[in-house]
Amino acid sequence: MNTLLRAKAPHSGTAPRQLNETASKQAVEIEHLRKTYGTLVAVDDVSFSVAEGEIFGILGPNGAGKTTMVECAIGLRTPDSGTIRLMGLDPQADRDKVHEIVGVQLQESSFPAKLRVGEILDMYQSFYREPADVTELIDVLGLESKRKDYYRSLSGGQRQRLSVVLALIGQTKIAVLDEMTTGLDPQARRDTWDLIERVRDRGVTIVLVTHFMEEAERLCDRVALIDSGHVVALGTPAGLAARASGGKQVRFLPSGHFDDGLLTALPEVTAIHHDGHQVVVTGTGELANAVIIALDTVGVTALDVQLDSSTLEDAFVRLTGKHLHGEGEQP
Amino acid sequence: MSLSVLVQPRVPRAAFGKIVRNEARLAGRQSSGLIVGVGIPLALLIIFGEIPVFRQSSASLGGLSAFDVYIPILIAFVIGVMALTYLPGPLVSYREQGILRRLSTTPVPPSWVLAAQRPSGEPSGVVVR
Repeated sequence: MNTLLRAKAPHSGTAPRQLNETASKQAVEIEHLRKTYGTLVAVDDVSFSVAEGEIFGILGPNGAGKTTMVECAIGLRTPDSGTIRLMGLDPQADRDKVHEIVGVQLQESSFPAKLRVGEILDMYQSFYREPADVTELIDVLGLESKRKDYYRSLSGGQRQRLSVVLALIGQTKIAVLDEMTTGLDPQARRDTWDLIERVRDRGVTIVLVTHFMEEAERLCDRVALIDSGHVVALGTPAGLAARASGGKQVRFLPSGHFDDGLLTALPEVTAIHHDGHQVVVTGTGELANAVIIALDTVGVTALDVQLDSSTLEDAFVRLTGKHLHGEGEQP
Repeated sequence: MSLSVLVQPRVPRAAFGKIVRNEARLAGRQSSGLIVGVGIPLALLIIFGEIPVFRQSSASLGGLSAFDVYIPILIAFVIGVMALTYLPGPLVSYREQGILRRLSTTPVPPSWVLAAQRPSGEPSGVVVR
C-alpha cells in the first residue's frame, strides 16, 4: 500500500534541478514521451521512472505501444517529444555510452543462421568490457549442450533463451527484455524467471515488457499498465490488483455467533456479508489476520478460511475494459 | 554525473577480430558462392578445353587460341560472382532478419560489420587466383 503511494506521483512538478538530484537513484527516467507513426499515436505522454535494482514491468495488450516505448528508450527510435534518461544519459545524444550500460532483448531479432551458438556468444561477449560468465548463463537456461549447434537448428524456445542470455551477457547496469518468455514452455519460463531474479540480486535494473500477467505478478516490483499508448495505472502488482477489485476477500465459517460490528469496526474491513453459514469479508491489507484476531477476542474461531485475492489480470480488465482512460483514479 | 565520466565509450578491440572471424566462418559455410563462383567456371573451362576449335590458335587473336582468351574473362567472372554473393547477400539478410538491429544496440559501431566484410571476403578472392 505504501509502495503504491510512493509510485503514484513519480514526477509531479519535476524541476530540472530535481531531475539531476534523482539521477543517481533512478536507472530509467521517462517524461512525457510521445511517438507517432503518421497519424497513429503509438505512445502518448508517457512518464515513469525505474529505480536502480528494480524489476519494472511494462504490461499491456498487443499494440498498446510497449515495444515502441522500449525502442525509444534504448535509442532505436527517436521520440517526437519528451525526455528519456538512462542512468542520466540521453539515448540519442549519448548513444555509445548508453549501449554500454544497457543490454537488450528485442522482440524481433535474429542471429546469423550458420553461426554456432558458442560463436555468437563469444562474439557478443567480446563487445563488453566486463562481460558476464557465459557458462553460468547458458547453464541456467539449458543451452550448454547447444554450444556447437548452428543457430538455425535451434528451436523457437532455444532461440528465445539465447536471446535472453545475450541481453545479459554484457553485465550491463540495465537490461531491457521485450517479451522474454514468449514461446517458452512452463519449465523454461520458470528457469528464466529465476535467472532474472538472480541477475537483479546483483544490482541490475530490469525493464520487462510483457503481456503475460503471471510473469509480472511473479517478477515485477512495480508495473505500468499500458493501453493505447497511455499509462493507465502504475504501482505494485498486488497494489494494483487490490485497488481494481476493491480489495481482498476472506471467506470463513464462524464457530459461533458474533456481531458484524466487531469486524466492520476494523480499519482493514470495508464490507461484510453472509452467504448461508459462511461469512464473506472484503477489505484491504492484512485482512485475514485482522479478522481472525478480532474474532478470537470474542472466542469465535474462523473455520475453513479461504482467501480470494484478485489478480493483476482483473485489474487490467477493469482498468482498460472501460476504454475510458480518464475515468480511472490514475492519469 | 559521476557515471557518465566513468563510462568510457570504448569497445574492446578484440571485438573487431571476433566479428571478422565470424564473418569469415559464415563465408566459408556459404556453399552457394563456391558452386557458382568456382564450380561453374571450372566446368566451363573443361568443356571449352575439350572443344578442338577453341584450342586452335587464331591470327585474329594475335596467335592465341579462343581458350586462352577466355581464361581472363572467366577470372573476371569469378571475381564478380564472389563479390556479388559474399558482400550484398549477407548484408541484406542481416538487415532483413534484424541482425543489424540487434547489433546496433550493442556498443559495436554498425560500420564494423561492414568493415569486417573486407578482410573476411579477401581470402576467398585470393584463393580464386
